[in-house]
Amino acid sequence: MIATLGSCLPHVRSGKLRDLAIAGDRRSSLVPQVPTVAEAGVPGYAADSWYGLVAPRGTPPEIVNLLNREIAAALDREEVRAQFVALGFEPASSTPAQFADYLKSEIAKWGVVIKESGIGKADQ
Amino acid sequence: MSADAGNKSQPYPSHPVRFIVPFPPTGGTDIVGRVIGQKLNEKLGQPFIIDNRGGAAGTLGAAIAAKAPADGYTIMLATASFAISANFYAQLPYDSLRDFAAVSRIASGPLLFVVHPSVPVRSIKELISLAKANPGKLNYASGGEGASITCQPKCSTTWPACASSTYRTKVRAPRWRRCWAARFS
Repeated sequence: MIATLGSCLPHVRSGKLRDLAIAGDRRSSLVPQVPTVAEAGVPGYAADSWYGLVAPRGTPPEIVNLLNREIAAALDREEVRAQFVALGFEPASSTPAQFADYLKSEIAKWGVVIKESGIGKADQ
Repeated sequence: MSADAGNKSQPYPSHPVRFIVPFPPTGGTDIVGRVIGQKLNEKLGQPFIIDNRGGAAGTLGAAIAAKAPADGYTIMLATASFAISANFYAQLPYDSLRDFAAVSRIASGPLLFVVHPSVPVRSIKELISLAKANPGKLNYASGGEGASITCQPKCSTTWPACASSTYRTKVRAPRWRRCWAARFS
């Protein structure tokens, strides 16, 4: 199984699951002994989970900017950082424009992966 | 600091905000949403009510968010699955780029390969060897077609075991076809 670090780390620690590798491009400080997939013999493999906030298109820019500022402020708070790190997440704020660019790049990246792997698409 | 939601006499937010989390309660996505929602509540003085809309790799929740009024009172937590689903599903009832306004990135989180301790492997290399030696015999769990954790073994172009189709069988948790039918029929 492949799952977020936060959701499976407790089970790894209790011995119900065995960790094999980190899917991202660098080791996690939470499990520094666990190699990345690339280190473990599959070069080029790198994929992370990420989180961000979106709103319906047309949401007033002043509201978008307000929420953006408040999220950045929340992520700067030590207790929030500690909560995220304990769960296996790394806080990462951005501007709305940066996140829009990131969304575009992620959608493009997975488009290539899905096309080249030939797994096809799920229909409705 | 405040912004107006169309009504200059009512600073935003003047009433509770619906915060769609397109995955079930208690998972990693849910926890990220709850931490951020709580902080927004504390700073902005209105509840940011978590609305868990799991199913179909987050696309059920995204469909609801895409069609909600664009007044600041509906927001959604997007994840890597949002970008994968945009490509994986032949048809979605929304446009992943055009129907949403990006607000902020929040966090990144590594994914971990794990096996049940009864699987006799200690490394990715051993897992690949085992899979190649036993085609179609290994199962893996996923959170739905198009979820990030589904796509990892299935579609990575650099994943040799996939190329040899050794990950043939899987255990799929939510039945996404049924989900769609139940929610939208």
